[in-house]
Amino acid sequence: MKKKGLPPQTPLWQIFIIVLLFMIFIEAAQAFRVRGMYMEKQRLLVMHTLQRFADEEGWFLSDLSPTRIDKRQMEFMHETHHRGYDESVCYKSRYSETSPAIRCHAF
Amino acid sequence: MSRLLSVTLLEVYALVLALVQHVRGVRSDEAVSLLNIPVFDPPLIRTILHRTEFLSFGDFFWRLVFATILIQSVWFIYETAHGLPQRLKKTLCGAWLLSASLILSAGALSMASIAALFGLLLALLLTMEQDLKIGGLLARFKRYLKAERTPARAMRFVHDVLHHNDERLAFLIGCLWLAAMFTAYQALLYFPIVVLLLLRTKTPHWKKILYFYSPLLLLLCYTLRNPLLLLSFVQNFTRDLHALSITEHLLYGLSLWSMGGGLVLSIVGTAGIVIMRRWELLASLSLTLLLAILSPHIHDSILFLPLFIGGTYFLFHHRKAKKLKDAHVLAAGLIMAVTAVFFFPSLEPNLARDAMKKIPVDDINATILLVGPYSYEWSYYSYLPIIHYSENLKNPITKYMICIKDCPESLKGGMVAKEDLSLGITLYERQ
Repeated sequence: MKKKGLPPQTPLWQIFIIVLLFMIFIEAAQAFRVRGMYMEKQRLLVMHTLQRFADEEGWFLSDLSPTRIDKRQMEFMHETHHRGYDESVCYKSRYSETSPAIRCHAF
Repeated sequence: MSRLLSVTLLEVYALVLALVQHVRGVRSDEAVSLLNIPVFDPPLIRTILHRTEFLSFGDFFWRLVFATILIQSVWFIYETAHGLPQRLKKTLCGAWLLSASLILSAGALSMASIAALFGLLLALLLTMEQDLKIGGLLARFKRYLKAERTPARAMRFVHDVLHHNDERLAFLIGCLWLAAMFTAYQALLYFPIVVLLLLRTKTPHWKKILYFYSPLLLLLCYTLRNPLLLLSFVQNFTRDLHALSITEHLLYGLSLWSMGGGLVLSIVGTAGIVIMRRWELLASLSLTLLLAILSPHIHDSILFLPLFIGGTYFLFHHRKAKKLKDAHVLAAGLIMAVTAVFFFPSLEPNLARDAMKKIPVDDINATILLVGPYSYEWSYYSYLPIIHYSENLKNPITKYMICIKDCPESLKGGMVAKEDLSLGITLYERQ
């Protein structure tokens, strides 16, 4: 029963769906940027490139996270995980064997 | 006063279990959560754990929190089982506290423990549906105010309020489901219970669909935006699948099932689920057993425990357990205690912790080169960046080098062996 003078209460399901829709939109947009990982040929290129950088720089694959995958190049984040400050750097690279990882503008 | 004493004794129990795990040190899967590395679990709890990384005793703090939550959850069982005779209530609570899976997992930083807690809340919500016969919300509120306040009584009261308002109950279940989805993927095993609880609410079907499917959709989007997480999940699962023979898979599955309820509760709980035809619990139990067989991990045994609690409750509630004598309960307790001791892992030395203690933490510009098989506890115990050796490594010149296996001689130039740790691991320092 509503009391006089008070604004009507927002139904709970509206709060739930608004919050979730917002979060789904954010996550889906990022998932769309890395959709290339779900096509076999592109996934092989991406994994080969990431493994190459991991071997050359001594990085761990779990510290790498692709953020954008295009047909010719990719962007990825490298975040170190240890006690203390975790440095997080954005890199971009083409898929060729000799392309270096160049720092991109961090988010 | 006796309730306060019981809470204190339970807290001492939780402290002991946390200390035992602390002595063992941080293991690889725990380090993943503490360092917030996106390889196994969704981000909710590990993000919170990571915030206390600056504390030198952070891992012990969270062990105590996890142990406290799991041990003190017994009060939810005690209060929810109010329809049972006192002896059966205490038996059920004792079974929770003595099960091998709880003893192993309380104090361990495993997301499966939090998923199991979620499972317990769901199972208790199921049981509350059974004996909510007292009417009069106002009368119950007055009784609540007079009664001794405990978290479980508060939970019962909240349930009563929600039960009179199915919209709020469905919203609560949706929020719990969302939180569980973003804590551990293992929480998916309890989806049959979530479905039944939502179906029982008197809300429109589209709202039930909303509360059930939208968290799943969000989890799917989160997983897809982290392709390496999905890839490591598939790789680990495939590796586990092929690592053992079919017989070994079945034996491990059976071990986890028996560990889940300390054997006695496993048998009674499973029997209760089947005899009382609790199909939602049976479905969750089947899924959990399938996971235990296909990809056995010791900490996943706790996922069985809330299902066994639910099954045992329904068996006790609807069957007159008059033939259950004190001697039976004592024998069951003894078997469960022996099971717990049998399955408890040995206290092996933590090589990563011992090695990293030898490296000064104030050498902020230094790097550590790790040669050999890597696991995440090395990163947890290190205050310096670690790089992993491979033959293609461009710059292997670092201040420190840890050789878990034999290091190539080319790397040892300019290095002095600083410490010869156990099991052939050597720490080198550049001069």
